[in-house]
Amino acid sequence: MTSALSFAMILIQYLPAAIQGISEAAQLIEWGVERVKTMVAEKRDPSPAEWDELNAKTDALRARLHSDAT
Amino acid sequence: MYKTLRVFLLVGLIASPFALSGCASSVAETPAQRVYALQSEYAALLAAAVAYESQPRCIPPATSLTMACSQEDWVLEIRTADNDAYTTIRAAQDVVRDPNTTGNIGTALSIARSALTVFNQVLVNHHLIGAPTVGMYSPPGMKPPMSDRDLVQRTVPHSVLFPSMGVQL
Repeated sequence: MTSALSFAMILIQYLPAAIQGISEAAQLIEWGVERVKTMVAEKRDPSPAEWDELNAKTDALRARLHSDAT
Repeated sequence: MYKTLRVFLLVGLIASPFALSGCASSVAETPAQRVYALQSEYAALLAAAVAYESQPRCIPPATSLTMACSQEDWVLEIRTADNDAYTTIRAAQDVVRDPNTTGNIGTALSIARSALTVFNQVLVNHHLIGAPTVGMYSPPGMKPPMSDRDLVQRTVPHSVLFPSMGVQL
C-alpha cells in the first residue's frame, strides 16, 4: 500500500515534466524529419536560416540542461 | 502488478507518439543533410535529458522515496556526455557548411555519431529513454543505416517517468 502511494505521488509529481519532455522530443523528431524530407525533395542542403533555427533550438535546450552547472 | 502498470504506461503513454515518427537520418542524402538530421535527433535526446534534469535534486535517503527527483551524479554524467555530443556535432556542422573546408566530412560525421551514441547510451543506462521500439524508415535503394545511428533513431525518448525513485515497483 505504501509502495502504491509512493508510486502515485511520484507519478503525479513527475507527470507534467515527463509529458512536456515527451511532447518536446516528439515535436523535434517530427520537425527534423519534415525539414530533411523537404531538403531532399528540393535537392538542396540546409540554408543558413535553417541551420540557425536548428542551432537556436539546440542551444535553448542546452541552456536548460546546463542551467545550474558550475 | 506495478511492473505491468509501468510497462503499460511507458508503452502506451510515451511510445505511441514516437511510433508514428520516422527518423531524419534515414531520409538524409547529402553530408549536410545528414549532419542536420543528426543534430535534430540530438535535440530530441536533449529534450528527454532536460525533462530529467528539471526535477529537483534527490536528497538522500528518505525523501527520495516519495519525491520525483534527479540524481546529481547522473545529471553530471549527462551533461558531460552532452558536451561531447554538442562539440562534435557543431564541428561536423562547421565542416559541411564551409565551402572551403579542408576537414574530412566523413570523419567529422563519424565522430559526431559516436559522441551522440555515447550520449544516447548514458540516457539509456539511466532509464531516461527506453529500448528501441520505433520502426525504421528505409526508402527503397537506400543503404541500411549505421548501427550507431540506428541506436539513436530507434530509441524512444521515454523521458523520465520513473527517474531515480527509491521505490521498488
